[in-house]
Amino acid sequence: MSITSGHSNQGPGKGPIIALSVLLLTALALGVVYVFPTVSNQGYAPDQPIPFSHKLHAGANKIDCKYCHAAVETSRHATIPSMNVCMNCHSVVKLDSPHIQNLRKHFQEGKPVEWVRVHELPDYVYFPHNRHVAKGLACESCHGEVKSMDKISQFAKLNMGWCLKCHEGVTTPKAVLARVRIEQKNPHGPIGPLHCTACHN
Amino acid sequence: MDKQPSTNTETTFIPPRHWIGPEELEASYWSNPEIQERRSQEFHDKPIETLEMIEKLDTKGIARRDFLTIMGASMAMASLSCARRPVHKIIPYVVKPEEIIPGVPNWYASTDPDTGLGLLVKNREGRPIKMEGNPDHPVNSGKLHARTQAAVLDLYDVDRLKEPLAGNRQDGSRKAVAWSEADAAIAGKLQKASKVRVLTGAVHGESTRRLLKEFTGSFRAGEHVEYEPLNWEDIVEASEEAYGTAVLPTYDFSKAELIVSLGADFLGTWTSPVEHAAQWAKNRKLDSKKASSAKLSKLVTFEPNFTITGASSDERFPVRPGDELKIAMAIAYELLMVRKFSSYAGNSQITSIVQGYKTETVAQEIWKDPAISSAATAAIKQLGKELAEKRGKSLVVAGGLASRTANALSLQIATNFLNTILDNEGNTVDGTLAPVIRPSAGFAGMAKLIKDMKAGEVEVLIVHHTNPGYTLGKAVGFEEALSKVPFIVVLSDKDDETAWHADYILADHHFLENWGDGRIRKNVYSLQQPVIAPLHSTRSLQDSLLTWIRAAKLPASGLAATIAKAPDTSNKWYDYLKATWHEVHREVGSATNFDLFWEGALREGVVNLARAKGLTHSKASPRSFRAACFSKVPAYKADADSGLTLALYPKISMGDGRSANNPWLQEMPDPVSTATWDNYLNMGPATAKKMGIGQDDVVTVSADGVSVELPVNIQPGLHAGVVSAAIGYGRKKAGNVAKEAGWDVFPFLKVVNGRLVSSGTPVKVTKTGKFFKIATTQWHNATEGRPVVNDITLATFKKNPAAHNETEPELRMETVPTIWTKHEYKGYRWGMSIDLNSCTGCGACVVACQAENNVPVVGRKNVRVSREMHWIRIDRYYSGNSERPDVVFQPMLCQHCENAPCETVCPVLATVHSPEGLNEQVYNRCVGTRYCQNNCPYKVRRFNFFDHWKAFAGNMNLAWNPDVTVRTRGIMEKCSFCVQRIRDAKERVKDAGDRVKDSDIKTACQQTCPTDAIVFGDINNPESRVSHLREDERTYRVLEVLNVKPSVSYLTKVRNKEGGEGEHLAQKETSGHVTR
Repeated sequence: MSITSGHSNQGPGKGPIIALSVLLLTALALGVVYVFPTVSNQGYAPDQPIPFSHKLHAGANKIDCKYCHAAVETSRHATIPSMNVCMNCHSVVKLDSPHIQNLRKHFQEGKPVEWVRVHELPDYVYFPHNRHVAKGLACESCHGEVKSMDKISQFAKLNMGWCLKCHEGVTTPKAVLARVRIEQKNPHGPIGPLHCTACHN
Repeated sequence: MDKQPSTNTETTFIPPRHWIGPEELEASYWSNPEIQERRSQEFHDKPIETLEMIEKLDTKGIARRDFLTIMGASMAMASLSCARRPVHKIIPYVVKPEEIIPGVPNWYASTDPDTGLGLLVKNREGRPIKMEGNPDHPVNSGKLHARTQAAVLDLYDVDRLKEPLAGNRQDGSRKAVAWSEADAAIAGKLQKASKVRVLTGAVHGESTRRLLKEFTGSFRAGEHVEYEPLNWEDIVEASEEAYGTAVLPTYDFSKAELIVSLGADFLGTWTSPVEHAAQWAKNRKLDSKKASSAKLSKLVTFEPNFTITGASSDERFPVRPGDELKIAMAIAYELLMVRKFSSYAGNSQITSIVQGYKTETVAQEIWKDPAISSAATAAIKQLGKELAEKRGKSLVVAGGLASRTANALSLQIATNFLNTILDNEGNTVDGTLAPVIRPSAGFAGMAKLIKDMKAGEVEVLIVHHTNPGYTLGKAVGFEEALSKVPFIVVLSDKDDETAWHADYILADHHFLENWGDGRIRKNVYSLQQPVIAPLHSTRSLQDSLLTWIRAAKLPASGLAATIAKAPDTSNKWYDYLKATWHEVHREVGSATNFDLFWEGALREGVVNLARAKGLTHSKASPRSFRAACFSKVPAYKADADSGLTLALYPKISMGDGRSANNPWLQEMPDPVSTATWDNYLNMGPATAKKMGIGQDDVVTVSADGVSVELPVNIQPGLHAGVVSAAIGYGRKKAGNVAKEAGWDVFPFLKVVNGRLVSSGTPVKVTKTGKFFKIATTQWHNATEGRPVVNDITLATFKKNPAAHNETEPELRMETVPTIWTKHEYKGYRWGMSIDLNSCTGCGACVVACQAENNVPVVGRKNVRVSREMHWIRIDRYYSGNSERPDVVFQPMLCQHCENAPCETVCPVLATVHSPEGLNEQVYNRCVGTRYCQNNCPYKVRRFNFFDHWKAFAGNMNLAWNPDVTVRTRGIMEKCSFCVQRIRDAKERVKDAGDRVKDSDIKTACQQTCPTDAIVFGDINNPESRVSHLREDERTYRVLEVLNVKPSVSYLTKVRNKEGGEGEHLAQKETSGHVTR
């Protein structure tokens, strides 16, 4: 059977127009990619259902990041705290605030707060928080000065080029660099793995 | 290795030593230009066909060009829309369960109630995604077969019953009811009833058995009946006849140096296959360093159907169903009459029967072909000699569906007799470890139930986890009997064939949602714990019984009475189970208190009483044989030549068909026929030729007023008078996956002298002129005749372990200059070694890989055009003639070549080499050129022609492994050596500063392999098992001459047989040249 058998209904004049439109659309698509070379959500700071302030909690009140993001040392995910963690304090603290009343209502009804995700990697990226923390990488290196952010916003590009620059040792924070160099006994090699399956399964 | 088949017609035609189908044994096949063309191509399909498929699937009526235009436009638009982030939500737990850390799996020990085997269930964020064997369970030691591996998918089956239904038995209509409503109605009936029957599948749990006893005991005439279509009734009954104990014995194949299987597929489907395969494999491992003194067990099989046990045999003879008894008796003849072996040689009661079964007479009757009958005569005589020498170190096993003729009981008695005189009883056969008396779940109980039902002696019938409406066919009148029962309740996961007749159909838990226990050995108790809250409004049998005892105020005795008093809100079945385990606690004599014991048992999943009490069970005392039972064995009588006889058999993937709606199992190729999705009529090539029937011809099979249309599969190695067909197919009411898969052959069951007979029925086979293309995979990976497998005999191995696996010096690539830079592997280097000698082809690895790596299911239509997606496949090669071929199974997966041909042709660097020797596939770079697939000499790369993941409807995607990317249309994928497991292992040991050792990592295929044929590890570590195995002289690499340097190596298969390396061997050895 030939490729076009059974599809003879195609008019003879249509071909070039279709070809041209395909070409133009492809060019447009390429143009878009050229103008926005790396798709990044740097600076993304959506409104949250409850205006939680990191500046207040982590900054003024000096609550350790790991108190809420408890799995950061044990799991791939840093994890958003479950609501019972909020209630550890807010069963007694600032009960007059309408936001806290809202929070307590959620908790009592068993309905979780649906936070808007800020830092998001594509599904095919398997970024392990625990490995990075274990190497002494500070939260701020990737998430910025969260302690001074009222509303959380994406600090870094979080795209692959950005990851690799650090893995290559170009943008690696000095403390990590020194530590890994000692462990590696190699002053020039990359800081982290660079092969594909290091992050993509 | 061997030579490419000669296609030069001037010289004599030399067929290839290893062949895929009998066609290859004909010269005309190789000179056919169409075949040559097909074999030289990677892709079997033409683009037009792809288009037709797309049109049918989702773009009805759109021509190809238009389709491309639309695709182009949508791609451009997709690129535009990508610039805007999709808003995703993060929804935390309200109160996080303490044990759950998102991203970290939890493993829970449990028990599979169908087999009683120990499980470890991997849970991620509260949902089970993978099951592995529990390494602490003494029976399966961490291993599982394909069916149990796949059972996790049944949990998410979209066609499961989701709520209780009330059925109308007149018009078949259904309506959803509340549990309370159903309970009230059922309790009302139970209150007034005195004749109540509970019909279940085989019960492996002591607690469930006890509850059933207490429940049925509360009625004046209450009974619990068990029925399984795959039961071991004949073995249990023969055990009672011969030894006075009605038990299913346990077998130890690891102590057997010589095994005779008379139809028993002990590696695949017979009694306890995972355990037996592991035991058998212990005597199949060889060390080339000790080659001269190598020991290898020997397996001789006589079987009606071609099973994986037959395929792994050293000698295999095809027989008709029913001939197994004659073979057993011929062996007895050799021992008693010829060799005067054992004291029974002087027992006239026995010899009078045995003397009729003269070996030559039997062989000549069974095989008309003098070549086979003389070979069989010699083999049986040899068996007589060797069995006599290996007293207590041999094992005779028999039976199974394909051998269940009217003579099934006699066959088992003869088998018991042989095991007794050979001193196997007490050595390789142990009758003392069986947990229960009369565990058969056989037809006898069912027959009585049917009689009672027909006589109106049953007022209420409760059916759970067995489906006789389907598995009993039509012959026994089960449906008619049901119509006489005034009130029927069916507890099932599906609105199935039996449920169709019920007044109430109660949605049942999946076993991963239920509590329970198991006891498959006297000394082994195991616990089944729920690993997920019920997904739907379902309830377990046990909770239902306890609820009804309370609601109907039944006068139940014992524990049930106490527990049932508790209010409805309590977790009754859990309390009941815990209460019975107080007794296990006392039996163990544990020093700890019960709560600690219970916690420990839950954590471990299994309580090994023998170990807890420090008992050693090395040798059982042999049970004494009652010679009187021998009168049940008929005297020799030649069967009238009845033309074709039918053998029914369970496929290793499908069993009795209870998981017919599981797409993983439907798409798992049968190890021997390589067919997926359907059943078919197996027929030997010579028989088919004589009848003018070809592959995929649809024929009508008829016997005793039953006729079924089936497509034909030409199966080498079948007796000329046998056709066989698999049960478990043609299920009309199991769900959408099962609906169109195959044809129901249970109607061929018939009752002879009160026994349910599945095989040996004479059948008439007529051609219909219709065709049905069976979706087999056997030709998908055919090469141009290059040798890829190697097998030798034990004698050859002793002389030279490396026989036939060497590459000729002039072809060795070290001597050829290369333009590629050599890879350096400074840290880890991952590699695998696969032992062809212990691979049984069971396919557990295929399903384990599918579950671990989110490998999609493509459906029958796509398998037909060779688009199956399995990352690991089992290639099956025959050698020898087509009447009695030998088989080699070869698991084939990405070889992770050092000089990978796929890497060099990828235009977008989507497949690259890792510093640890992995050949990485980068899904996001792939643009789908398929160059890599075309350039792969091993044909292991898989292309996503469609968005196959969409086939996982409803919440089936919950079964996916979140650690592995789900692939979309248009990209290539292949085995990754379970890179997610490698990463996990490295992360676990990194902080301790350790290197990953063998004990830290197992790939999914390796983990489940019952025979330990697959070994994975770090080649750079000289201590690793894989390093040792790669240095074994038996090691060879497939297609080594291509200099691709695969990371996967194979160990040559060694057969324990005299000569018989094939008639082509002499030729091969003298020519000794690898072509191309």
